[in-house]
Amino acid sequence: MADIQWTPEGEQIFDKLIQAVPEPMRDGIKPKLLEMLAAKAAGNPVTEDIVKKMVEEDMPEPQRSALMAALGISSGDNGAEEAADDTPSVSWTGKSEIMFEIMLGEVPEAMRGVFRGKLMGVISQKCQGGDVVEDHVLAVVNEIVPEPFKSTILKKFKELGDYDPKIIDDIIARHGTSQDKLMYILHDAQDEIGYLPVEALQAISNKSGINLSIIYNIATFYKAFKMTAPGKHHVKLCCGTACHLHDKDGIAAEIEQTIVQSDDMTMEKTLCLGCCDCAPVVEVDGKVFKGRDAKAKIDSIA
Amino acid sequence: MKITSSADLAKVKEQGQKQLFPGKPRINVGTSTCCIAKGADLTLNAIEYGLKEKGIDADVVSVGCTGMCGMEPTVEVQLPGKPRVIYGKVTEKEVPKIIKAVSGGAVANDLAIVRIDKEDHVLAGAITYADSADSAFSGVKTPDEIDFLKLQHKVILRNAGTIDPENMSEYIARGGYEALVKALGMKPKAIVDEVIKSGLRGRGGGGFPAGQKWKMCMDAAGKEKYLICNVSEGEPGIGMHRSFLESDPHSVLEGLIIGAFALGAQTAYVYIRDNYRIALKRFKKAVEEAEAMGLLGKKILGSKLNFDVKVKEGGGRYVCGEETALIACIEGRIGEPCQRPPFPTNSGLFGKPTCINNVETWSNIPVIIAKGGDWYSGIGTKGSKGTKVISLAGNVNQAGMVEVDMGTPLKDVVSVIGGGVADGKSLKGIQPGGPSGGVLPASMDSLTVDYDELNQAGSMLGSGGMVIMNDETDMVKLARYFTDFFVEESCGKCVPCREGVCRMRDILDRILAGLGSSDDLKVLEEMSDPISKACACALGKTAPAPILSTMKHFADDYAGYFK
Repeated sequence: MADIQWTPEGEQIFDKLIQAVPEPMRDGIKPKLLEMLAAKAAGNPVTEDIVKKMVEEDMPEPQRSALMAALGISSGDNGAEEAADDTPSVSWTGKSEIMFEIMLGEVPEAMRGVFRGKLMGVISQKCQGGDVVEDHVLAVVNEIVPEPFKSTILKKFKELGDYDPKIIDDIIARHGTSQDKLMYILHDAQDEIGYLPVEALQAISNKSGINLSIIYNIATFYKAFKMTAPGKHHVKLCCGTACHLHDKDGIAAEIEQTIVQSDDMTMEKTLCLGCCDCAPVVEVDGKVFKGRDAKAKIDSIA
Repeated sequence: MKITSSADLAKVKEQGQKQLFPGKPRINVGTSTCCIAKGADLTLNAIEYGLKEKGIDADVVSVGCTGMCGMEPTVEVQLPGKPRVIYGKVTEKEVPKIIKAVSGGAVANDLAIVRIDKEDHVLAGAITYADSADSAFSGVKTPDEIDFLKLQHKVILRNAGTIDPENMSEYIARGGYEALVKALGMKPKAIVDEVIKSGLRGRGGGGFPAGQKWKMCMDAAGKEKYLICNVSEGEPGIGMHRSFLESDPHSVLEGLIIGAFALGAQTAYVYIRDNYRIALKRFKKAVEEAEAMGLLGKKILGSKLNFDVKVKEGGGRYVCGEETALIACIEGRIGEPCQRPPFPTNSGLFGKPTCINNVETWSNIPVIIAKGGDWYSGIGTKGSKGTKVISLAGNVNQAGMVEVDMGTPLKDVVSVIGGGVADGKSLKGIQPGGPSGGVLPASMDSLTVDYDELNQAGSMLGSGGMVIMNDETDMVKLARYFTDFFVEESCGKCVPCREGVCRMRDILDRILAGLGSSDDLKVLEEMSDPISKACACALGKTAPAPILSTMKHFADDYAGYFK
């Protein structure tokens, strides 16, 4: 900063500008901004106007609108407000809407409103009035979003639950959107997807209008719901009283140890598999094994 | 066809009779969860294949559980005019013997458990299977000669393992839905009076008089009312509620329809634990069948009654067996119990008057209406009427699902029905009704299956999950196991349960590690007092029971850990 002269107002507004930049980008972008300011000021002290002008003239969209909003600059062409007020309605297909929300989720909250409008504008241009597909959102991320957000968002896209979002639409169409239907919806979603990925919960929230926090509450309170993908083998370990009594040699504990160490198995502890006369019992992929046989079976797939 | 009158019902009954007595061999294969765990599905396939191979014309039917869980897979062969014979441990390998018995009109003696010449059915009356004594079958014992069966009294389990649970006409053939016809001709108040007269008490654990609950719900203001059937069953060591729905779903349904008419309810929710896949499937099928036949829906049997049943899959939490938590779950909230009053009978599901009963309570209703409250109250003891289904498990020779009259001594259940303690060991303790009831010592086995008697002894009948423990059982470890269950299942709403029970488990861990002293026992006792008073629901209130009861009755086990 040594070769830049500031007026007090200029320095103040620049600080404000830096504060509006998302934290992970600040260090990277600051030298660039200073460079741009130095060029604009051409040797004179940097005033408030010069900073504002730099934002208005030199910043790319949608950052430009967002920063202008943050600095309280009214835009000449009113672009930002128009876009925000008049969000074009598009029809989302596949996972596009969830991907869009994930992308927006990375934007600092204060700027999200402006970004939503701007990015929607870009999306509606890309889809040309047709359906929004996943590739449209992907293109926006690749073309507009700067690092390190781009990598984070792309990584999150990769982690998206591998399911067809149409499943959720169908389930909600079947059950309706009132909260007393929520558990039916979650059971059906889990039956079809195999577990409840966070994205599916988000999608249920979007479609039903039930708060995500409520859905998360239900999905984590009830043991029937699982939020991680199941392993190749599904093992139920019976922890019922009879199994406990029959398990003198601690076979159940050994089995549990083996399962925990294996990547291929998902363990579920259940209270009773209803076959108390042949305890201790495990169920591997729907088939019941007891005692030593159970251990042998688990060892064979571990 | 739709059943709109008792004449229609008689027609369906006739159809059902033909299915039960097809004039050719009928083979019932038990395919409940417990049966399938032992390979009943393979047995079923092998039987179908074997019959086809030999060109034998026979009906093969998937039925529920006979209760003889220790002998599964069970197969019943009924040849025209011959006694019904139930075979046990019929694995795939043994199937050729069954096929041979069917084709030869004979009996496979080495697998046969019991033969039934005639049956005294609680609703259908005497049913005779064998026309005359047949010497070919004389080698097989009758139910009176078998310890497991001779003390049992099948009222609720009257059809379990005999009828096809997915075929309504077979239920009707054995007197099903006749109680409903009778009830629809009665005044609602008369039905409730009959239930009060029967002395039926809630089978879920609390033992609250069912008739009184019904009356409160009937008297509650408001036109919109709900019924709930509780099949939550989350205790370790119980499987019988599942079995009701897997073996005889229509008896539960009939109870609900009668209840709807008596109490003026329009909708019932049947809350079924989520991992009871077969029970869910069979009950849903029963509801669909009843809807198709016009026994659910609008103007049931030509009356003014409109009634629907909805199946609600649970979420796998023990606390949801508590009525207010269960209501929360149906409403789509997490299952946290609420303070009572208001009681659900006044303000329950969606704020409307709601009558919640356990599945076993509901399946008692058709019998009470058909036979009358007086008949029902003739069974059992002074304070506990009727029969009780018990899921017998643990270190016992013959585990299974049994039904006995109230007032049957525990020692009869253990040593006669259960065939005594397994492996020649001796009896150390009995848990009469789930972990909340604690453990009783062997010396108290003269107590009977009776709500009040067990309560006075500091235990409870609970929902009837009875576990037998032999002399090798370490009661401290067992208390630790049950306490772990309560920690795991606490919903977290009340601090004494969420935190207190956790700390009690820590103390048990310390004792088990050999670091405890007799002072720890005092602390445990002190802690249990606020827990049993300050929690909102019975799960929290009874959480210290396993520790307290084992400390009281098995002090030596604890002393063994103190240096």
